[in-house]
Amino acid sequence: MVQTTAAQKTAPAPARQGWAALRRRDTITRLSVITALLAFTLFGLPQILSQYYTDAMTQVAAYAIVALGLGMLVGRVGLYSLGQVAVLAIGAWAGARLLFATGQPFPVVLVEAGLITMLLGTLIGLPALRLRGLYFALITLMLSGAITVVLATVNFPNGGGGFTGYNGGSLHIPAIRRPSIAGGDVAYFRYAVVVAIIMFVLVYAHIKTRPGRAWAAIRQSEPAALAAGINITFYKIWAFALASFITGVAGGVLAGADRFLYSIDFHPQDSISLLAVVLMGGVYSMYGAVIAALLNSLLPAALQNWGVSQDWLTILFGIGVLQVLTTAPAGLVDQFPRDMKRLGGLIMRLVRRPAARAPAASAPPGTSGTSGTSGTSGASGAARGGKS
Amino acid sequence: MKENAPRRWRLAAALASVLAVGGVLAGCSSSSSSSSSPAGGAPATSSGAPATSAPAAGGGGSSDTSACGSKPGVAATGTPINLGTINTQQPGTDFTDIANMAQAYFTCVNANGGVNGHPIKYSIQTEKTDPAQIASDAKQLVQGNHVVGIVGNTSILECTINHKYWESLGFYVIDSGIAPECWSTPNTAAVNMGPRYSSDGAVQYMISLKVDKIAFDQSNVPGTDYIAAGPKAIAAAANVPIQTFTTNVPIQSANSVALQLVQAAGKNGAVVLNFTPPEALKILQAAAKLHIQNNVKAWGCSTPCDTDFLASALGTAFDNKLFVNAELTPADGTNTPTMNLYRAILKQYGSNVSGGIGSFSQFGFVEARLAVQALSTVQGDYTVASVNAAFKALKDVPTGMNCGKFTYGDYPMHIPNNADYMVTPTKGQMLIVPGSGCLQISTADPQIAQYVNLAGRAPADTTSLGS
Repeated sequence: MVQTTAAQKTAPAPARQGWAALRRRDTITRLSVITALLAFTLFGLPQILSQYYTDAMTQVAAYAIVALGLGMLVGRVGLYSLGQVAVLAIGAWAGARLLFATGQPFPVVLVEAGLITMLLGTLIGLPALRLRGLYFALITLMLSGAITVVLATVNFPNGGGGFTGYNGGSLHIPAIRRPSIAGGDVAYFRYAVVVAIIMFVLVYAHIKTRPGRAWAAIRQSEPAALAAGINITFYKIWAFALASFITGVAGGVLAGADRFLYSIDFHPQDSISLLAVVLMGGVYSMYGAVIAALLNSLLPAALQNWGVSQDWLTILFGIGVLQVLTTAPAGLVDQFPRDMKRLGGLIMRLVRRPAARAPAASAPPGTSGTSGTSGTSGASGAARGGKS
Repeated sequence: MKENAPRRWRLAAALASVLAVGGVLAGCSSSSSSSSSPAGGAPATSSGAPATSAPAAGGGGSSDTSACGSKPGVAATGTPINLGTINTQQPGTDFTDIANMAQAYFTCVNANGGVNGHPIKYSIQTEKTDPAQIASDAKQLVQGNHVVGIVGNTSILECTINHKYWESLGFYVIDSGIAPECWSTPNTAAVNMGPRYSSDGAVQYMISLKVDKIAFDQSNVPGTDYIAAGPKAIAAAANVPIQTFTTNVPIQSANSVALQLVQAAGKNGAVVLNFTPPEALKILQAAAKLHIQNNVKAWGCSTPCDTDFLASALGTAFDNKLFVNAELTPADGTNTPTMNLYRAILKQYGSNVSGGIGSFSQFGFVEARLAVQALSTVQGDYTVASVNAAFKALKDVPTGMNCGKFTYGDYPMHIPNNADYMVTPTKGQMLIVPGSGCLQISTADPQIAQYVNLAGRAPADTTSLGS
């Protein structure tokens, strides 16, 4: 987004109008691009992709929501949670239980799963909110382990009765139901994308209003935020609750996508790799969550399809996090466009250089130096333009 | 120049990123384009080749690998017949030996005439107990690899996740099962007994040794209650108390697990384990290290323990003390033509079979062999319909490794293997318990009773242990 600078504020009226027009045009362009991308995702992608990759993209949609929640905690509030996969498991458990036990519409179940997860996630995480940094990460990892142990003992619902809904002796485990309008894989992919869009809008609305400003102040400096009259604990809980809510909704989406859930699918260590991909994607931009989800869910599927061991991902993510932390703290979402601009600049320079040399070679003696200089400066200008 | 160096690195990184993204897109789109085309282009057909049949499953008689095919030494050059499989591969649980052995068998067949002149192309997908991945694997096999048959599936969850998918497409799967649906659905027939019925066999044998109590432990994976239901029913029918446990894998503290089990079983009791070989070995070695292996009357184990890897790793500590339920012909000390062929193929083509001789690779051998036998009967095109009709039509086939002959048939459930052997480690090998023959799993297990009522007991396969 275009930020209002001090120069803009002090500019005369015609100049301000110019800035506003530029900003309007920029916003329209962005909205157009986003709309086109979403339309392509919803209607174009399923036509291009095989069912294998469509399923993988459904996972991407679900994990984009999870990554969004974690990215919000890390990037906006500075809370490095290593328990988001456990929170996701709670959401999936609640969603599956409600889908088996009731005939409620799927969207209602998603909201309920989100609210249950928000309540449990916030209650569990409440003591940890007094901490930050390494201690917060450690506590959330331990809590994640504890939740996993509980879920392994209770088991995920599989159509049984009672509170847990688990029948260990079942000969035919029924699949978790999907919404009536999205029973097929392609339709469910679209459904998951729409849910993800709603969650992104929800978070965007928070970031652009008072909570977002409070979170930004807390991340910059807690003492300064406190001095400014911001209730730090309240806004931290708010962030944690919002992240838990959307992660719970993602759990419900995942339940419908997987159709069979098992506690062994929610390893505590998955939270670590999730944090790694979120850092790689970029925590300061919401687009980073999409990149993180692609790394988390599409890349393993692609490697599997290409016959490459997924164990390489551990190494790859390790290198990726190292690269991001040392050279691009804002993540790939920031680095990739910059590098593309540089690459464009290089290509332009390479294209223009021979063109500039050609007249130099044909020019009469004594004038070649001038032509050569102008050609070089032109290329440099292009390169600079690319960089700016 | 110095200023340009970092920029060059950045540009190189950017170029690499573009290539990587391009590669990903190319991979995704190529997969989708192939999925939209008809299955594998022109289907493989048997019309062009002379109607040679695969050797009878129980036949053979030579340790030469050429016995696997109909034209020794002649490589198959026809249109490939695409088969596929899904196997669990994750830390603590790796079933890819089954697929790798099936692959070895198919490679042997391809090198010796193929099936009616057609080579078999075998696609192996692995999964990490992830339902989404398992469902995607199945779609990839059908749409991406254009398989016409599924042979060799061995996965903790695959039957649960995909059985309806296979039913909807008309696939009749030949597999080694684990999940309950591998034995309780119409489109899946397993050559093995699986954890439940194999544990039944181990418990049944312990009861025959007149033990007072049984401590039954298994890995904490989905379906543990279903598995434990069989041993519980058999113990209850014999009025022997049984205590069941589950242990998380990979096992972190084998000493405490071993101690707990021995204490639970008691001096005249038995401990029965249902784990993969490396995990069972941890408990057995811990018991040996603590010198408590003789604090119970006997140790039992389901089929996965039937491997030389485990027998040699244990040394002599459990000789004639550990009794393992072997769902197929014990590999050691058995010189039937089938076992000789199995060993020869394993040696020549099975470099990827990490566990070597053992139940897992035997499963793969039998499944591949049954598939080849069925494929050789197909007249005309090798399509999903013709291939799976051939699989389903398998009836009273001597596998050379099962106690009873194999039948697929049209049943709502399939437990074609319901009689097996008992082996014990002896000087680093797993040898059949002297004097024991085929052990029929008791109908005290209600599932066995139901299947026997439907299909009856299979006729004995006299080739499995020689006459």
